Amino acid sequence: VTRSLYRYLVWLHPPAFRRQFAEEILWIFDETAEEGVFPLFADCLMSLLRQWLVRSDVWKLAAGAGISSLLFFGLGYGQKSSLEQALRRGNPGQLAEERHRLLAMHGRPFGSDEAFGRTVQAGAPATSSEWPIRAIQISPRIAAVKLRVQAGDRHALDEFWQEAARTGTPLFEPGRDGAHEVIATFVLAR
Amino acid sequence: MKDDLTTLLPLTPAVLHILLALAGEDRHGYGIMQEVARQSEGTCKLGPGTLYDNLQRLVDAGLIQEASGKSAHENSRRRYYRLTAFGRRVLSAELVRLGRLLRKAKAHVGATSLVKVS
Repeated sequence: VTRSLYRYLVWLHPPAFRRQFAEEILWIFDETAEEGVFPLFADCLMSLLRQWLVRSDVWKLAAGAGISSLLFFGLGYGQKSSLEQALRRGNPGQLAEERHRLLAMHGRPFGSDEAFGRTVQAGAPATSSEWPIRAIQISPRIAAVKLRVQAGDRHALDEFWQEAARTGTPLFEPGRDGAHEVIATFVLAR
Repeated sequence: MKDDLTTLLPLTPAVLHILLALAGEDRHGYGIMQEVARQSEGTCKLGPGTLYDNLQRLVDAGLIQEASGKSAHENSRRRYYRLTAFGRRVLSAELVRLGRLLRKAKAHVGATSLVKVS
């Protein structure tokens, strides 16, 4: 039983080491097991750790993967923060710039709200402690276009896009109270 | 690079014992283990894992090499190792370093204070 267990431990070593030395290590085990197997098992376990963690390139791969993950998530977090800052400041220019930069980098929207993947409407907070951005169902302008389309108005969509092209996007409309709330709507033509 | 011995010194106790064991004759792994135990009077016992890890590194560093020929007459599982000329120079350099260290130790501590370890 002890020999089988020891052979299993030897078998767990990296293939290159195992191919080269496994037979001789087992031979030494056969020759010296009578003197006590505990030191042999301790040595084999240490060897196992040393071969995988120090001698093989596994630790390099693991370290590379770890660093890459940190960089990837760090970059993502930075982009997310930048986007959120732009949204918080309500700066349309910076927002548009962020949008173009992220779309150019990823070819798709990126952000905590998936801000550019779907139409997002933003409004001012109801109270000062509230998050300054909140989503609403639909902007009044788009609601109006929707009603016109449902009523069979063929020109509604064309007119909407022509106006959007003329005035630029995102669309900005007064919010509920008119003075302190602004609805910003990002539109994506497909 | 091989000529720069200082980068390889000091040797670890296990490596020093292995090179010493191979200084006299070619030996296989188990033979090296037995010789190391004999040289150190049982104070240094190498396990197979430690031994073959060090042998692999010493072969890679060019201090020892596999000795061809002997294994054909012996058990096929036994692989013999031989000290290379470079390995012998490294061993000599280490022994010189240890000799100097011992002389300094005697000068500072005093020969009478150096107790015999047995």
